[in-house]
Amino acid sequence: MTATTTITAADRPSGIGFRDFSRHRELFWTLVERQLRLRSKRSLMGVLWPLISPLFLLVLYSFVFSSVFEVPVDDYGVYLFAGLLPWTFLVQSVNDSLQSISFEPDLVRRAPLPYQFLPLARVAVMIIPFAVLLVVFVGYVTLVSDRPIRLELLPLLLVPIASSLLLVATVAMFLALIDVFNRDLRYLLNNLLTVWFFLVPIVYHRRMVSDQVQWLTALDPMRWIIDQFRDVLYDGEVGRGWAYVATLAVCTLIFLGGLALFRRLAVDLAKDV
Amino acid sequence: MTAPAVVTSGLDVSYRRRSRLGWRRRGVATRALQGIDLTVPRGGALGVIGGNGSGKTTLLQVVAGVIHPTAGSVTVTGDVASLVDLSAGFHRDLTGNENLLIGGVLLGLSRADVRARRDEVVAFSGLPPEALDWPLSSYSAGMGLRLGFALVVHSDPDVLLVDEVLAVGDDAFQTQCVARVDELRAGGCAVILVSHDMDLVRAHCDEVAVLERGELAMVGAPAEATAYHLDRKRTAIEPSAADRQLYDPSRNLGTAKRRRGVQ
Repeated sequence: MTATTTITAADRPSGIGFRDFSRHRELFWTLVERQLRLRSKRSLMGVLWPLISPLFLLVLYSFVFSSVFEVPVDDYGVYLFAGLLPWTFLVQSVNDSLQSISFEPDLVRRAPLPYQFLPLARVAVMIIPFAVLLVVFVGYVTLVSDRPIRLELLPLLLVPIASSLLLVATVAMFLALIDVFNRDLRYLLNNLLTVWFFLVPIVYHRRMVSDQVQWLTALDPMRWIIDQFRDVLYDGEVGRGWAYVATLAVCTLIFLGGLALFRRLAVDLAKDV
Repeated sequence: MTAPAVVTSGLDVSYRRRSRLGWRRRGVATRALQGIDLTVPRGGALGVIGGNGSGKTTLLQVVAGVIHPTAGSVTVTGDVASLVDLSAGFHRDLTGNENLLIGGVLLGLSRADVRARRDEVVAFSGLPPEALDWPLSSYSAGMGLRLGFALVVHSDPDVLLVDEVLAVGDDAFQTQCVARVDELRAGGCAVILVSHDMDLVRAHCDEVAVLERGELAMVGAPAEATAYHLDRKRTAIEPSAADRQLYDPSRNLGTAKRRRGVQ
């Protein structure tokens, strides 16, 4: 009934820790609930505020890149938004998670808890505005816009959604961990994200990238994820089927490897928060 | 059969300073605890006393499982509950009820358990029931402590860690807490109490450990250990040569003055 546990210097977490999730499932969902409740305190729209940003960017970039620079893409708004959707999910989750560990010293010092839960709970909350926008957008492209959308392709969206979740979760975990030890990212992160944003074909078309640097952008999983969102929500046809599986596989590996590395590195954070 | 609740053997904990980039610095380690051998039997109460920075809180953190030993080991039988700071892991923006749920789950209770015990916890805390719907930011320090302590002592811990928080409660609540802790001990719960209040330690602990700079200066009966500690404090007024090298008050005063622009 009462278990005896011995902890020595050699006992460090290893592996990806599926037991963290199975044993502490309730703790994870409670942290998600805590985050949801915290977001709604003293705030008019609470968890729905993140909806504003992609709509804002949609208007701004539509004006700049369609009316001023005249990017040669039909239905530029739809094209743009299909890319902005996963991108803003990434940016908002990462920004929100950055201080998820360093701002909770009380939680970290109080009881042993799987530290990855703190950033992951924040990512989980960010899924809500992402999902709301996605549903609205799917409704728009299928019912209102005259894009050649094929309904039978819609379930395929689940693959890039899963890929983006895994990728975003990994990035969020690591940035949150780095922030415990070094605060420079707080000042740098948005600049780095801006650079990344313009390296991914979101506001421009993949065709417009010169052949010499094509291979470079192909290394970025975010590019593939956005391509796949566009396949379904803009082109209405699947370009490269193998890429769906490959991207998901790569993102899964990144996540599992990242989780294992995070658990190895995130030891005794109570000493540092 | 009756395994001790807590055993530490040859326990060392050291902290490494970090560079600006966050890397651990080589060679510079602060030894917070060195060679700590302690045993707390089930139902026992160990007092831990010592000056600031002597390693008391680190000891509790290791027993709580929040920090790994650098060497040696700590063995704990059963669930540990700790009340190591006033906030008790509560968030200022959340209401009392919300904090109880989250705090309870962090203590290892299931959500159903927390809900089932809620009324008992609130009654023990002595807070007016409507206060549970207020955000914690509107609570006084004492009210927050009452709620935190009430939750912790109702989580059925096998080991209870208390770090110098009772001082914030009023006399009535302190008496109530002490009675509740005795009740838990009668049920087999072991207690480690960190305190600067020698009277409290003498009255409620079976054994007292004195920490000095991370080392166990002595472990013994409460009366002896507290007398030893008080005596050491009196005689330690004159700093040794080594102490002076580490800390020269006149120099620090000078810097402070310079910073303030005082000549």
